[in-house]
Amino acid sequence: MTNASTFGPAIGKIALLLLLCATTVAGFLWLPAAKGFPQPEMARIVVFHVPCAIVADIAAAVAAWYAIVYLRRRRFTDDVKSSVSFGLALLFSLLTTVTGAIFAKSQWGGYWNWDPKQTAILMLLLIYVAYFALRAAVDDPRKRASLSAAYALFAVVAVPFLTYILPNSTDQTLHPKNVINTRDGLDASYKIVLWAGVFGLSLFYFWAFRVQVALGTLELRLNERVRRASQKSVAHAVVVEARK
Amino acid sequence: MAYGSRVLFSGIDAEIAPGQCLVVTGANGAGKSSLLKILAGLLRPESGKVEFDGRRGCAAPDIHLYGELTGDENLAFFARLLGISPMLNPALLTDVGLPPKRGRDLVSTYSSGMRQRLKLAASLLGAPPLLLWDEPTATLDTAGRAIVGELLAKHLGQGGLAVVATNDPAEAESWGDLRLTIGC
Amino acid sequence: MELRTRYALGAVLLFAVTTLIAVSAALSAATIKSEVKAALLWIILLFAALSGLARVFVREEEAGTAPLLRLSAPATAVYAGKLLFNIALVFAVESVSVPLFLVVLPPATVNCGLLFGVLVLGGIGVASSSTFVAALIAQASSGKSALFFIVAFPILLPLVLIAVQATVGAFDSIPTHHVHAQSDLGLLALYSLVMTTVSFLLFEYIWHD
Repeated sequence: MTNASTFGPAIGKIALLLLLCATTVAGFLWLPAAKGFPQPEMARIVVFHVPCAIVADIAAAVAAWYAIVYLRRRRFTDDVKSSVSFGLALLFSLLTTVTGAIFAKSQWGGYWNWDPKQTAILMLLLIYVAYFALRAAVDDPRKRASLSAAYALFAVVAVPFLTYILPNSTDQTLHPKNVINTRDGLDASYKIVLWAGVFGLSLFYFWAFRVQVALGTLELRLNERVRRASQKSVAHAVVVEARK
Repeated sequence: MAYGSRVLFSGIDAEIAPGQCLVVTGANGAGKSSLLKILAGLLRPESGKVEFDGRRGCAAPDIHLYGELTGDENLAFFARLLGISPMLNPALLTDVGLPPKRGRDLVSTYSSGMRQRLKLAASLLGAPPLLLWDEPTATLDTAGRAIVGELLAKHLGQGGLAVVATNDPAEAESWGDLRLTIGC
Repeated sequence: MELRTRYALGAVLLFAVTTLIAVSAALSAATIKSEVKAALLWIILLFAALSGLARVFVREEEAGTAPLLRLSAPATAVYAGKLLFNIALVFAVESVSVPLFLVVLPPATVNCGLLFGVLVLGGIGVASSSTFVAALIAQASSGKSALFFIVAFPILLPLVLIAVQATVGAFDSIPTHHVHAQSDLGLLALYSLVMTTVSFLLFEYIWHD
């Protein structure tokens, strides 16, 4: 490969890195303290927390989509895409939880409060863990793919039910509502940084997704080759017309 | 045709006509059972197709019947699932050489030969057009083996198809109109 | 579809009852709020369910009877049969443990209508989710009981939380709790409906290869 062709992607990656750094820096230095929170300075972490949550949802949606596609077409590449996306969803959900916990500690005094939304994300994390546990427990690749795709879809339908409706059906949540969208919520500059964060993280997600999917498909192809190579001791059928 | 991490066989292309029996032979582990399972629809091949319309009756060593039910209940259960009247079941039992009164005993009390006969009876429920038998005479005594031959002949005589996997060369010889050997 | 495995029923009932007795013995002295009682009831039911509901599929796979079933019946019928059995099992467990519970740890008041509703709807929700997860893990290669717990737990817990909330409304006389409970009942009903439909749709894919 020539220098030029590796230059392009490298530029892209550097740009992404810069963007993420910029968002981080802006989050801490440039943004004014958020009004209306008990601890305005630390509330800025929300610009990390929310994008993480949003990208986690995107990742989960992509994973669910590929699960459906796999069940229809039964092609292993779709399964790879689905599980990779789930892995990324797990990552981003973890980040969301962590940033949320930091936020919670600074605002409400404790890392974990059993706030309905916190419980909800905990369940989500458990579901992701369960997904990978299920995959690990099945040996046959085809079964593994179909079982995990089915579980993914099942969980995906169950989760919004139980995590959005439940928290919003009680009035006892500590999570501030409607902060992003209403006009007298956060400062306008927050929104810029926030959406920049979403953009940056989404790009990161896509990049990581593609890399891992490429790895996964490579592994698939390798397995295929190994299998075909062991073919020498194998069958070909001989059909003999025995009589009549 | 690949399954799991082993490629089992490739390049099988066969057509069977009504009244014919295809015998599948091969060394242990060559893939006879897997082939039958694919024909039954229990396993999906990675490439290739099975074209067959209609029901299949199966009997195989690793397909079991319910131990906590009696022989009669087993047959009645599957008959109902298939939408067939269970009236003909007693006749089926005698066809495979099981005395009717043993039908009222729990299958867990059966000997392995008796279970095999019950499996064959179950595979014949509703006279399916295609019979898929994997080692049908395993665990059977000489009388039992003769019965299997008769049942097969009767089925083929009625225009049915059969695919039978066996390790016994004599059976392969006498039953098979067509023969498929797997493995080298 | 036939309902079989009468033995399973006995085991699960025994478990539910012993848990109940253990809990009540530990708590008999204290005065407990209705919320805690509601939670306790559902914890007992949850664990009883977890111990008993997976059997419908796991047994088939382990005994080797599953393939014949696959061949003989349409997937929907198989699932319907297993589901109905599990629902019946849950109801049976409830009908034994709940009266016992009410005797041993009586709440302040009992709103029978609400309680009945929660038990029925929550029971169906638990049964249907557990049945689907059971179908999934039955085809795993190893570690099935632990796997069942891991996989089912995150799906069942929120469900149980809603049920507990509704049960709280049934156990005391605070009006806001009642109102919440009623919307929770609606939620449970909707959940059961949706999840059961989804299970039926997805089952076909995991039952046949």
